[in-house]
Amino acid sequence: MKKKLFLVMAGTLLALQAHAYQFSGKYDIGKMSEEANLVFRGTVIAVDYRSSRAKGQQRPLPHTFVTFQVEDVLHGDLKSNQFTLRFLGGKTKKGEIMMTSAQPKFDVGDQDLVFVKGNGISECPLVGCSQGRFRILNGLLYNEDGQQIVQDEKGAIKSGKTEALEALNSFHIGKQRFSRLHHKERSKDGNGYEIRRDDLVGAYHLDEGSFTGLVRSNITKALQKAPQSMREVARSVDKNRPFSAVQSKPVALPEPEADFDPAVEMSEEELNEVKAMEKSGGNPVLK
Amino acid sequence: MNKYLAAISIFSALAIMTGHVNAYTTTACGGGDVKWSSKTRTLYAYTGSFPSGSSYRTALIDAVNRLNENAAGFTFNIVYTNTVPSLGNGRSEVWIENISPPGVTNYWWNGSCNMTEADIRMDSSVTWTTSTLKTANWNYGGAGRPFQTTLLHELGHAIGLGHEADEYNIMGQDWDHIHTNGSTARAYFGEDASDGSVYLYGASSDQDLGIVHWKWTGSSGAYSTHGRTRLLDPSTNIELPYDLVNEERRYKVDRGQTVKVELTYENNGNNYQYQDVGYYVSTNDYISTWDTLLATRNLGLSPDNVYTSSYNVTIPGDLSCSTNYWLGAVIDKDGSLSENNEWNNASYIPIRTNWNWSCLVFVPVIPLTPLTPIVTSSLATQ
Repeated sequence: MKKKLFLVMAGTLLALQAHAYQFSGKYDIGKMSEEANLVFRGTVIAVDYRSSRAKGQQRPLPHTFVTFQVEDVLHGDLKSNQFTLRFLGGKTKKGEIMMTSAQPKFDVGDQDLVFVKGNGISECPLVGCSQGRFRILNGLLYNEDGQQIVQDEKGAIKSGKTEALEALNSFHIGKQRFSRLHHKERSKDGNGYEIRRDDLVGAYHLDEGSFTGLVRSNITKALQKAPQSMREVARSVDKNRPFSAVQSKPVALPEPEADFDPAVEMSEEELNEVKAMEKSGGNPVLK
Repeated sequence: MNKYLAAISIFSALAIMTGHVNAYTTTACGGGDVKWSSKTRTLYAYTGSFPSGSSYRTALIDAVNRLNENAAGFTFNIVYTNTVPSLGNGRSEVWIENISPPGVTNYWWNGSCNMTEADIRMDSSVTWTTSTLKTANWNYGGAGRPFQTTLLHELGHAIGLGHEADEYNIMGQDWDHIHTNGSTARAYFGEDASDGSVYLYGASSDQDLGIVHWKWTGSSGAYSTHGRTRLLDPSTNIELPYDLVNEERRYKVDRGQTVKVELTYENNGNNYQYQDVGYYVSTNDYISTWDTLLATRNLGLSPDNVYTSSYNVTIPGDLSCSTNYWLGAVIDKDGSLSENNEWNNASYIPIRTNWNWSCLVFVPVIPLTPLTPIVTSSLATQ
């Protein structure tokens, strides 16, 4: 009986563990470190909205200026302990809002560790856009989408379970509050939990100290590997200085290479089937 | 003790049953969501990027048509224009430009949370394929990323949907959210995004069922990741051995072996559907009801949760040895439901029969000549 009880409890634990982590997105911190001009940990102290100047056919576009109080510089040179990032998207004076599909959303008071690249030039001045932002909440690490940042048994850094925490899933633009709504449905998967992933059983949620240590060690390795690649200096932008947005440059692409349809030998019966399906617009129900 | 054990067993079952998967994502704004105020909008396509006669224009039309098959009846009407597009001009536009991500959507909304503009920019530096021929598609050994799936993902943003990580979904990793049967691989909007469109814009009367050989495998940040459905050993649930042919897993099976066929079933429409699914073996990758029927199953599908499941079928003993076949399934195999699309009702998994000693057993085939009745000349001339 004790054996049965143990098996049931073990099953319960495995089921719970398997549900705890359903993810596999890997973060290549080494590569991100190589790409970044600046890596720091800080707290958002201001979020301001400014529009670019009209230029040619390009109308003024709203931008968001996010100013950090920098608390720890992991890579790069900073002359000041404040740093301002500029993102395409934000609020106009008329109250219209423009957002970009992958753009991170910042609130005053957010604590982040960010990998900066192309500030003042790029529409989204972070390595991999929102991928280059790691949020710190109660000492634990999350990504822009409210997923835990975890480390698995092999040492890989991955995105984990989505946390339904207000601070992670809501943001403000001006005084208006928005939130990301994850609409949940009960799983009805046929074979128990076919979609569960077991590869991260044993992975643990990273805290700020462990993650910062990992980033530092990756930066050291990146500097040893390619010392020239990390010399470009990141510059803070001045939110009060006029600026222009990059004008759209639409292009036409050459036609892709001609389709290659390898000849497949078919019997007369098979050819008839293919013809019948083509005739019915691909309908597999043939009369 | 028995009660204690029973309680733990129930708890154990509940731990599994009450698990949820997240579905579509939207942006809550005030008491509602960020969305358009009406279901019909104009999408201006720049002729400089989508010239008449180009395959990119055909791909654009394909993708918009697939979006327009959403269960809410939301419709984008394409208008071609040679006016150079730009962000913030009050028109929703689509064009191709050198940007770093494969596609970006910039969307605008006003103080009432109503969208006023959605601009889609597709990247010019990606090696795209605009073909629906699967051999051109990088999922099937080709070189190109399917333009239609990425554009459809961006069109999802353009109606108000966000990224989705926890279910098989076009709003996750787009290129392997695709339907394939025979030599054709087509982009499609899919159940979860369609469900999201109904949440935002209300239901229409459209119905559509589908089967694909792709499924949710995990997430990469905010994006769901997908992989091929598999063939499993029913007793161990372990994937059967396979080799790779044009990036497709071709499973090695024995004649007479029972296998678990894993596929993903979707209800992209509005109403619960209860339909027959037929499982077939085919001598080619076109699965149809003309193939050999192996089994039939009744399946109930509600239009709110992508359903990946497997079903046992037995490989017929009379297949040829060391030969390629394709196992597959057809949903609504009697064609009783009138659907938006019928082409997405079947898909396949490649197999190859193993050689074993039973292959040496020779079964003679004696041709039988039908007897011709002897008739009198008076009858023969009727």
